[in-house]
Amino acid sequence: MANNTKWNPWDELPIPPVMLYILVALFGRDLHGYGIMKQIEEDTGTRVRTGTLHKNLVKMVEKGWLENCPPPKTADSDDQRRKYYRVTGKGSKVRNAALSQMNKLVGIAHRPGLSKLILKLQGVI
Amino acid sequence: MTMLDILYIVAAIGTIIWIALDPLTQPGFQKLLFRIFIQLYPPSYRQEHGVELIQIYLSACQQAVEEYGKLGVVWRVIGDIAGMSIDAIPLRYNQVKKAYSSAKGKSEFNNTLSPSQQKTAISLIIIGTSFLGIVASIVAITESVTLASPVMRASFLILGITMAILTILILLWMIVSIRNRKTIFLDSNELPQPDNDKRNPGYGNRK
Repeated sequence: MANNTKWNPWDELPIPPVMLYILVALFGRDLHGYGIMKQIEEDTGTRVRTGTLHKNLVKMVEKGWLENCPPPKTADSDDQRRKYYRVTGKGSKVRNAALSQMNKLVGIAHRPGLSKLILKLQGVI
Repeated sequence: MTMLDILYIVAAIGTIIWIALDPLTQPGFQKLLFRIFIQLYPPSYRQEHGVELIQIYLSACQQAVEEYGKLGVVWRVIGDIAGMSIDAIPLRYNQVKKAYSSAKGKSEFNNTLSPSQQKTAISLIIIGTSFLGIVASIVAITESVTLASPVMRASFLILGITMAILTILILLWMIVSIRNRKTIFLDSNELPQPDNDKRNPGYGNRK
């Protein structure tokens, strides 16, 4: 109990991008491994390798950010046999912290000098 | 050799490679490749996560075939297998570390190969090393007597033989490992009870 009160999601940052992608992909829904892979590709355009995805899923379950859950009733018979993942309360806190940090970074990117540099890098100006 | 000959050769090699890549679009062949390369992972990891890994991998391959055709699946398979090989290194390292720190880990490490297979592997390594030594000695003696190397680029010959022996040893080890562990390619509900696996008692209890 004492450990839980001391735990701070900000201490977990920075997290690897794949972990953040997984936490975002699982926002508000339960998905199986391949479903997460497809969602990441859809959200970010990044294709994650099977081994990388699975390694991170195992790590996140160990850390208590994700948990296994029963497949949804709407899943077809093939998907019923797959392992589904759900974000835990701890995982949600880490995701929110990571997204807040990212949001802050985006705010910094709007600083006059920096935004000019970004536009220059993008070839806009 | 004219430019046209070179073009013919390139076209012929390209066609052969293209035809040879065809099996990669078949789920059976994709599964076989995965089955070979998953042997790089430690046994306990395979037992616990093998079924899920293959489900993700096969679905991804199927998607690659549908979206990008043959080249897409080749890219996917190569990327996944290369990634698996890299990911397996820290897992294997942890297994070796565990082997020296706990009795359970030691038993798992020792059970990778049975005692008879261990003896065979050691014998093969000894024979291979001796063979290399003999070839190197023959080359060295002939070179010193005739003042000319009996073969062009002797060092490349020795390196080639070493690589060939190592490749054969790795392939043999993979084949033996596959024969010993067929269970990971069954569906999770078809997995045998823990007691049925007499070679590696206790793996089935990990949940």
